[in-house]
Parts: sequence; structure tokens; C-alpha cells
Amino acid sequence: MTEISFAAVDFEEVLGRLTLHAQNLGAALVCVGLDERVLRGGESAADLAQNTLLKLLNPQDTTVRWSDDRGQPTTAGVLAYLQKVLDRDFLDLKKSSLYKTTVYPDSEGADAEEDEDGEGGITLDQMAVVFDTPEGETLRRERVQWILKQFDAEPELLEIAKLQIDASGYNAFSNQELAQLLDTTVRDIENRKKRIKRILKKLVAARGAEEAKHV
Amino acid sequence: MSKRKTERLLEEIRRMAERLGGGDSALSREEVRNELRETGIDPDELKTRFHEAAKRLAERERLANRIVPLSLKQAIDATRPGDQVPNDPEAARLFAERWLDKFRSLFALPADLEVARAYRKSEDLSKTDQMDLDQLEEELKEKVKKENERKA
Repeated sequence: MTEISFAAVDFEEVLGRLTLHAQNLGAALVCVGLDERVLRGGESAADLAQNTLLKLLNPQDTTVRWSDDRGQPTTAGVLAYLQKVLDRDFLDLKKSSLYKTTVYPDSEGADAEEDEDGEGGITLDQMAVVFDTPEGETLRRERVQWILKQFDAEPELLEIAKLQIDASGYNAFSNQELAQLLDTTVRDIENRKKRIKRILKKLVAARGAEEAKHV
Repeated sequence: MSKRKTERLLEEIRRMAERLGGGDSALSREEVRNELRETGIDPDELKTRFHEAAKRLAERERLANRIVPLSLKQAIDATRPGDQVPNDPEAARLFAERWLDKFRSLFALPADLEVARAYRKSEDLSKTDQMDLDQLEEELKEKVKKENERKA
């Protein structure tokens, strides 16, 4: 049996795009109202992306395999497949005891609960129980307000940021409609969206660093 | 019930990630590298770290007298540092092409690029641009200072 060749795959590009994907998941975690605290042994976005790609290449790991029926591996094909793997691993990982989620750190007493290790915070499973309650809804709204406050210095981004973070508003307008509404070009709207994403990612990195100090 | 709730929370996280990542697929290779830099990740360091990890994996297979899979060898070849050309001719060709792409893409300017003058003293710049420039100025001064100290 001949081995599948990955010669057409740009591994560097796959790794870079997977890292961006992991960062988006991390940012999403913060946007829905959670802050992650990576405990000892936890993994960053870059670690996750690397480990996902290595799983595909590791002959001793049979959980991630490129089967013949997927056809010849291409950069786009491998990326799409590994993004799904990373989604699953990311969420499994966040449920594990290596991660603690500080619930709504803007609320009073969020750090008050301590587990047996003397660390505050709860796991994702525990968090899910609170998520749908009216209290959870209120606190989530507080989080969105806090995020939007970070755009105070850049009012031209604020309206679009609101739509991106608010699930009900996200698909309400196309880029073209937004451009007309805000009296600008589609390219400008695309650029503003990119800037919003960068700010959110920096925010996540900053919160992560802040949280890490307490671990 | 708890499992169902967890699934709903995870679904919400996935949806939000999709919204935030909208447009990522349209980024060019160089734009992906820039995005990584913006968030404090050095793409070259990322590649080197992966290359070393893949080499360790291959070494472990060799030590256990097992065959190193082709995909692993290709990944190691494709992520070599710029000054190490792969042994395999096809891998070497792809390696050279991607290396050259880096230079080509640097000069790919947007079609509707506009130039506008803005002066710090007359407060034409936004607060954030002003802060970015101040930070760059500080970094440059620091760099020059260190360089001078090293020479002294």
C-alpha cells in the first residue's frame, strides 16, 4: 500500500491558520462571558494548533487520520479537517480540570469560591448550569458592555463591534448595507472588522496574562 | 440535563468563534503571518517550534525501530529554517517557491490604497494612532540607547 503524500500541503500555513482559529475560540470564550485561567499544564492557542497538527502526523495516535476517501491532501482540505479536530479538542480541554473558568470576573464575589487546591473559579461544565439563568443573562450583558467600553477611543468601530458581539444583530446587515448606512466603502467596513478582531484578541491575551498572575 | 446545558454553552462559543473568524479564510499567507504578529506570536518562531517537535517525533520512531511516515518527513522538510534546503528535490522546489512568495506578497498593495497626511502636532491623528506612534518612538529610543550602550 502506498503512503499518502502531503507534498502539496503548506504545513506552515496550516499551522498559522489553525493558531488563528484557536485564538478565535479563546476570544469567543471571553465574549460569551467567561475568562479562562490556564493552569499548570494548560495550553495556549499556539500549543493547541501545534498539537492538533502533530496528531495528524503521529503514527502512534490513531484518533486523527487522513483517510483515502478524503482524496489527495491539500492545504485547504487539511486545514478544514484539523479545524474540526481543534474545535473538539479545545472544548474538551476547557472542560478538563486543567482549566478553571472565572465566572463573570466583573461581578462581585466571582473569585470568592475556592476549590480544594485553594484556587477560585469553576469548570466549564459547572459554568453551563449558571449560563441560562436570568442571573447569567444579566452578567453576560455586563460582559458585553465591558467589551464595548474598550472601543470608547474608537467610535467608528463601536457600531460594528456591537453587531459582531450581539448574536441577534450579526447577520442583520451585509457589509454593503453597513457601508451605505455608515456612508463609507465596503473595504473600509472590512478593515474595521479586522481592527475589531485584533482588539478583541489583544483583550483576550491581556486578560489571560492578568489571570495567569493569579494562578 | 447538565450535559445538554454544557452543549448549548459550547455551541454558543462555537458560533461566536465563527463570527469572530469571519473573513480569516480570505487572508493571504502573509496576512495570516501579520495577524499572528499582531497578537504577539512570531510566525517564524511558531514554525521553528513545530519543526523541532516534529523532528523529536521522528526521532522517537527511529529509536523504537519503526518507520517514519512520509507525511511526517514531508512536514519536517517543509518547515525547515530558511537556510536549510530539503534533500528531496520536489520538497526543495516547493520550499523555494514558498520562500519566494514571501517577497512577492510583501509588495501586493491593495488596489484602492489611499494616502492621507496626518500631523501629530496639529492633532490630525486619532488617539490610538497617536499612542501607537508614541510606543514606536519609545521602542526606537530604547533600541538606540541599548545599541549605544553595547558599543560603549
